[in-house]
Amino acid sequence: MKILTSFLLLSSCIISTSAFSSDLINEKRAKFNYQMLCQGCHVGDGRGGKDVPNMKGLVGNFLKTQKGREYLVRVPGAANSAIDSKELAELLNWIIITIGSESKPKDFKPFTEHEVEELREDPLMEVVQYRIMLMKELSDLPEQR
Amino acid sequence: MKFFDRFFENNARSIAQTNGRRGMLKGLGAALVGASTIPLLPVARASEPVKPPQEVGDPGECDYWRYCAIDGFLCDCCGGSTNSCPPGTEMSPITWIGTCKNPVDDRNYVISYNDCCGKTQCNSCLCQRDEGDRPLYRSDKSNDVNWCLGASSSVYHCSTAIVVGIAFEKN
Repeated sequence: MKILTSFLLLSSCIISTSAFSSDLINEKRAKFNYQMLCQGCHVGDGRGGKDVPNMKGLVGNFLKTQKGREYLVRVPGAANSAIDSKELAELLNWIIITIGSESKPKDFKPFTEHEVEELREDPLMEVVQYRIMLMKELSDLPEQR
Repeated sequence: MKFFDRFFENNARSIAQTNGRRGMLKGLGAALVGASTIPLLPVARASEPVKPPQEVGDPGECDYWRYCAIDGFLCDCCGGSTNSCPPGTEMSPITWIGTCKNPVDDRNYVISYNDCCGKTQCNSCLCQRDEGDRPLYRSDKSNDVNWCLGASSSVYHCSTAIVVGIAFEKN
């Protein structure tokens, strides 16, 4: 029983800290930035609507290719957002974990400030066709098991 | 029947021999501690509705605190409320979001000004306060956009002012 107790206590500690590493994501700030900069169109849970893409349970799929990963930063809503690259990296990581949920790759490598800084210097001028092309590339990928 | 008797007796005895009487209490305690952490998971918190703050003021008046960034007709005067659309209209999911300070607790809240669409404009209680409004080149922060573009009808009727979160205060 002692072993069971320690196991339960230990696992509860791990569960409560594993989703966000506190030095990487300030959850309150990330959520606030999401609400102020993304939620207006992508809505509270990321579902989007009408012409706004659905991110809920899906956005992590872009991380399957390098181009897809870069797209998440270069898309105008991200690249042109009125926050610095540190907060943008945090916001993107928060979106992938919270809204992407099961679509987040197992080997997810969080965006860093430096990576975001470089990528947003090259924002996308045309998004719709580029996104269609990316989606096709992603759907052509061999299924991973 | 004998089988059941034997089965339960054997089980009861083996449990009594291997576990202390306080074992269950311990297990229960551990389970309670474990379970108490589950609602703290970020996913649960993210979808948690915001508790409405304590408020003062009249939602039918333009100087009501939640309207600090509004530009439109108050749904509260048009058969709806600050949180809901009048009958016969549809709330646009696509919306303009700002922050307003609640005078009761002096905290900034995130307000979503979802428009109600599908009927000609309400024409009563026009309220234009525009705090934090930006020109159209910052379209996500401009309340001059017709946000009914997200609804099935783009005809604007009135605006709500829904509290969706608490602002993060940057030092």
